[in-house]
Amino acid sequence: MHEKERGLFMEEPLDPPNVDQESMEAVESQEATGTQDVMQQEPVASAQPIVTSSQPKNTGRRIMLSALGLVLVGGVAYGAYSVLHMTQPKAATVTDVKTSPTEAKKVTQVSPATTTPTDTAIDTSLTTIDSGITQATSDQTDASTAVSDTDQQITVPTE
Amino acid sequence: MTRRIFTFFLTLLMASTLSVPAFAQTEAEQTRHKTIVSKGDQEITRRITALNASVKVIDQTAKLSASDKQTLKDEVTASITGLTSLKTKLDSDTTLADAREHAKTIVTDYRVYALVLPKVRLIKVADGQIMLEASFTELATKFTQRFTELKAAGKDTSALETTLASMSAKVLDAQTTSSAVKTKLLALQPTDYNADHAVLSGYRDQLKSAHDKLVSARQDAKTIQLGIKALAK
Repeated sequence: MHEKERGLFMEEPLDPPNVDQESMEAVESQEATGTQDVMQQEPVASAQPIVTSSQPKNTGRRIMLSALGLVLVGGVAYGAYSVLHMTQPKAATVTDVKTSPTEAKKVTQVSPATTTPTDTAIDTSLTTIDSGITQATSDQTDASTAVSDTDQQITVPTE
Repeated sequence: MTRRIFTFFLTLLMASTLSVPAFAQTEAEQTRHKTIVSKGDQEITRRITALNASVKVIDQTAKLSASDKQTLKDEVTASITGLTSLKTKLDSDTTLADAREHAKTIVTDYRVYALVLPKVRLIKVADGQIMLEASFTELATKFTQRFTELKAAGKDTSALETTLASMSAKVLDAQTTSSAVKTKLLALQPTDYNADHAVLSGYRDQLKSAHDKLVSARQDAKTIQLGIKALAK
C-alpha cells in the first residue's frame, strides 16, 4: 500500500493545486481498475511510473507462489520421509537402550533366540548318551573277547 | 633153622620187590609230575592276576546295587582264595595221580576264563546299558517338555511325538532285556557252565540286541532334536 502511495506521488510529483477532489478520486479509481485516461497520462512524461507501480504486485505473487511451492515440496518430502521411516524396522541403538531400558528388553525378546534352556538340556543329555553308547560298544567288544578267552585257558596239562 | 632163615629172606626180597612201584615213580613219571605242577602253578597265577583285575571292573559298575556288587566281589575273592589253596595242594602232591586231579580242578571247579571273567564283563555291559537307558528316559522327559513349549507357540509336534514313542519303546525293550540278563548273570556258577558250555552266549546275544536297540533309539533322538530345531526357527 505504501508502494502504491509512493507510486502515486511519483506519478504526480507536482501535485497541482488545481487537482480537485474528483480528480484524486479518479486517480484512485484508475489505479483500482488498472486503467488511466488521457488526462492523467498527459502530465506524466512517460508510462514508466505506471509500469513501476505494477511490479510489486507481480513480485508478491511470485513470492507467494514460491512460498507455496516450498511448503508443498517440503510437505511432500516430509511425507516421503515419514513413510520410509515407518516401513523400516527400528534398530535397537545404544541411544534406545540408554533412554529406554524397557524398549531394549523388548528388542532382546524379539531377537531370534531359538535355543531355550530345554534345548540346552537336550543337547547335554544327547552328549551323555553318545559317550554312553561308545562305552557300551567298547564293553561289548571286551565281553566278546573275554568269552573267546575260554579257548586259551584249556592249556592246563591234565595228562 | 636154616630153612626159617631162608624163608625170612625170601619173603623180605619179595616184599621189597613188590613195594618199589608203589612208593617210587619212574623217571618219566617224575618228569610228567613236575610238568603238571609247574604248568598248574602258572595257570593258577594267571587266573589269580585276572581275577584281581576283574575286581576293578566290578568297582567301575555304576548301576549295580551295593549288595549285587558285593556278591560279585565275594565270588571273585572266593575264587582267588580257592585257587591259592589249590596251588598249595598241587605243590605238595607226591603222586602223579593227585597232581593230575588237582590240575583238572583248576578248570572245572573255578571256570575263571570260561565263566567268571566273561560274567563280570557281561554284567558290566548290562550295567552300562541300564545306565544308558536311564539317560534315555530323562531325555524323553525333556523332549516332552519341549513339545509342550512348541505347542504353546502354535507348532505341530505330532510327527516328533511319534518318533519319541518309537524311541521310548526301543529303550523299554532294551531296559527289560538288560535288567533280566543282569539278574541271571549274577546267579551263574561254574557248575552251570559245566552243565551247559553255551550258557553265556545266549546272554551275550541278548545284550547285543539290547545295545542295537539303544543305538537305534539314539538315531530317533537325533531326529527329534533336529525336528525341534526346525520348528523353533
